[in-house]
Parts: sequence; C-alpha cells; structure tokens
Amino acid sequence: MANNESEKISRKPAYDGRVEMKIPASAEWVRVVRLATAGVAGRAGFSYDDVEDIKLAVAEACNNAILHSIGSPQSEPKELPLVTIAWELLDDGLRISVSDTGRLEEPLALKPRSSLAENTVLEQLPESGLGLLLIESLMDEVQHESGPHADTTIHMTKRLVAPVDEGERPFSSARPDPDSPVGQRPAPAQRTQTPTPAR
Amino acid sequence: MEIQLQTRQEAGAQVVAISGDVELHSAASLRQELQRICGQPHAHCIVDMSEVPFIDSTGVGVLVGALKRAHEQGGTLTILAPQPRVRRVFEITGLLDSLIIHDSLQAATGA
Repeated sequence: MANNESEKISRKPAYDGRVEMKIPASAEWVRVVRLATAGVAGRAGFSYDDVEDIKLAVAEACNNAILHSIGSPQSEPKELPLVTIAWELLDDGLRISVSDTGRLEEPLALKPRSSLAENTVLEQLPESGLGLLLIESLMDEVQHESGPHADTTIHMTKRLVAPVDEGERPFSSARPDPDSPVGQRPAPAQRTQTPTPAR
Repeated sequence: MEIQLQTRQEAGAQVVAISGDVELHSAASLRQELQRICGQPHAHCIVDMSEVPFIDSTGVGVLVGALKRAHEQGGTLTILAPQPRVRRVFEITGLLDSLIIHDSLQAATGA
C-alpha cells in the first residue's frame, strides 16, 4: 500500500544520530578512522575543506589516544587496548569523541600546547606535541575529560557555520567602518574553545 | 599504507621523493632517511612532497627534526611542491616561516 510505504520512509532512523567505532590502539588503523570520518562529515553537510580539516583533527586525536595507550607506534604489546571513536550528528554540526583506556601514567602526548607565536623561529618549533595545537586550530570547540583510570576522552565539535573570528579576517567587509553607526556593526563572535589540561 | 621513498642525486642535492600519506604509522622510515641525509656535513636535501596528499603532526615533527639537523651541519633542507592541504598544516603549526619552499626542482636546485 502507498500509505504504508510513505509511513516507512518518514519513520525516523532507529538511532539517535550517533555512530561509534572501536579500533585496536595501533597507528595502522588511523587511516580507516579518517575514511569513516570523511563519510560522516560529508553526510553532515560539510564542505570539502572542512571535511579535510575534521579528518586531520580526528587523526591527531587518534594518534594521541594510541600513544597514550601503548607508548610508541613501534611497541607491540601482546594485547592491544581499544580506542573508541564516536561521531554525533548535531543540528548545526558534528561532534566527535575519541577515547582511550590510558595505560601510561604520564600522557605526554596530551599536554595542551598554547598556540605558537606568529614568527616562530625554527629553534622554538617542537618536534612533538603539535597534535593538540592542530586539533584546537581546526575545530570550533575542544574539551578533554579524564576518567578515574588514566583514561582520557577528547571531544571535538565542528559547526556547519563557523563563528567568525574578526582577528583572522582583517580585510573582511565586517571591518569596523568609522563612518557607520556603532549600533549597526555585528559584535565579533567568540570562539568557545575550552581546552582543559589532562590530569 | 606505507609511504614510498626514493632518493636520488640531482645538481649537487639529494632529492627525497615521497609518495603517500606522512602520518604516525608511516613517518619512521622518512625520519630515518632524512636524519641520514641531513646528518651529513653541508648536505643539500630536497624533499619532494608533490605526491603527499596528507601530513599529520608526526610528519611535521619529522621535518622539524631534519631541518634542525641540517642547520647544525651547515646544510639546507628545501621542500618541493607541497599540496595545498600539506601547506596548510605547515602554516597552522608555524613551520611555514622556517621552510624554504619551491614549486619546481629547477628553482630548488638553483639550476
């Protein structure tokens, strides 16, 4: 019957917009997570450039989770712990959470790094620890959560319409015009990035 | 997927052509090769990144390490033809200011 058909189609999917994947804490699986992320982010409606940004941020979070779990990509523990990746479709974007079970007491890879100065000289550039800087630069909101057993989760959100940071667009049309009435200028949106240091 | 590395001599420089994604899983072999070349006194190393669609912070760290080693040894490290996505990662991590980037091998070797 036609009525039955339309009922079927209009029925909501039997999930709440959340997709989850578990991978062994091994660097060779990060590529699979990147591909899955591209699929979900594309479905959420992000542009090509945004999808690429999200893929990189998620890869960095997975790298951190893997290093936090096993120490180094070369180490081969008998049993690999799992890293969980969850994608949550929001009305206005995508929230991704990456969780590890945390074997290392000192999660070096997760130490947040403040952003680098504009004219960073080579000697000041670190050879590691840049992952979190990338995540915070590429995503709109980033939060860390430390569990009771040294386990860590990083939550990252990308909005479909990113907040406008006027500082990054000095020549945009939103530039303050001395002749225009003050009340007509839109206030610059604030980034709501809230990185919290891992305990 | 592992990356493919091919090193050749060209106009007094050692050109390392990379093919594939430079990431946590694949960066070790690149680190080894660049440290070997840049550890030689006054070496001119050119890293051809035209076939690298993706780089993560591990890859950036490898380049930073090689660049530092080259400077210590009085040599140079030049990046050849990075794709826009890779260039963007250099920009965000602050590496762009320290890199010499050329779009052609001719320009990179000064030939």
